Amino acid sequence: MILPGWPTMLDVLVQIEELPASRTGRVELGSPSVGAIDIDAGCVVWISATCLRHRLRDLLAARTRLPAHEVEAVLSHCQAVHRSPFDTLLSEGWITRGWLDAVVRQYSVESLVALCGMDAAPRWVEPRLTMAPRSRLSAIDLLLEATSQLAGPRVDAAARELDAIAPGVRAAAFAPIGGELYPIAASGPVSVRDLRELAAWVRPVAQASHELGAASFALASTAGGDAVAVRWVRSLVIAEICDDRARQPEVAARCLQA
Amino acid sequence: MTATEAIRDACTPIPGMVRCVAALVPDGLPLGGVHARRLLDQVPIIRAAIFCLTQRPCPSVGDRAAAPFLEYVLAVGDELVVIEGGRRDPRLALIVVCTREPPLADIRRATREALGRIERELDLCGGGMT
Repeated sequence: MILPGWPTMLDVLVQIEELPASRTGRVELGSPSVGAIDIDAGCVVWISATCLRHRLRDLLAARTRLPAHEVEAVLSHCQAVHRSPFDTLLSEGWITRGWLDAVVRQYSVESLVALCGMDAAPRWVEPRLTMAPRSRLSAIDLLLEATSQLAGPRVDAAARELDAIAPGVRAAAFAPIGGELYPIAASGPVSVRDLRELAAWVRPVAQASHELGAASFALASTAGGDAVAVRWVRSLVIAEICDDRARQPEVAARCLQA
Repeated sequence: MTATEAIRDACTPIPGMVRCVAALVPDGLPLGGVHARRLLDQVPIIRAAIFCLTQRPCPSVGDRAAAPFLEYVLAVGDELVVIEGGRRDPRLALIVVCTREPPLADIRRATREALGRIERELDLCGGGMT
């Protein structure tokens, strides 16, 4: 399984995370009727894909005490009267705030994958939110949630590997799937752009490793001594940026002994 | 002095050196080496160097200016493969296979020095020796 439209997703999320904090509006991919990404004050608040409308109903039905057809009725009614179905479900006590936030998050991630899979160029549209902001989703969280759905149990292993790295160090775990390196966990102050660049740095090292018959560790350095350490752990690729040159020998020794 | 002699003289001091080869990238043309007579033995390490050095990704780490990766160390089994990209001429690659016993810092320093010596000895533009 791969993520269709992966380069589009990276482009869209990089654009979103680089929006000014005051920016409000929406990003459309292709026709407005297929869905959109709503942005409030620089943050994603809601993503919807028309093709996943039934998925929203099913996610809500799984978290409310209502059968799917009644959730569908609420959605249709609220759409007709231009009212938020989420406010209705909350005010009627059919769902808790925590479960609602989880549904919004899950649905937004799945919608993002569906929209980017259409491979249309993103287009910015001036303020036109479809509903009042509820959750605030960062670009990096959306990215990692989307990829973690591909990687399954590897996500927990990746988190454990990154936990072992010193706090504040920029690092990421990638899952090689279908010839692509998907970031599935990150630590330190990393952005979507950082992860995209890191993957581009790691790719030739991974190709070289494959050529040599599977390396366990690699260190790539510039003439100035900046470096990226790469480890292969089971079916993960862990990349660690060595900002601090004094740490390089320690990182290399730790990885070589592992 | 032949290219093979220049490469041998430069690389002999590298601690733990098992074999080495200097080659042109991305063509993959071997210029000479030590304990690297069979072309088949050289192919994987030259191809690895091509992958690493041809794309030349430029990391921009922290507030420092972006610069290309020029040195790669890969641990493969009981060996280390050190790949150095030419400082004067980006077509040159020096690939050294070492044991893992010597300190990594010593291997890296010696390999960089070997590359410097080779770059002083080989005239890639003229196609011959200086």
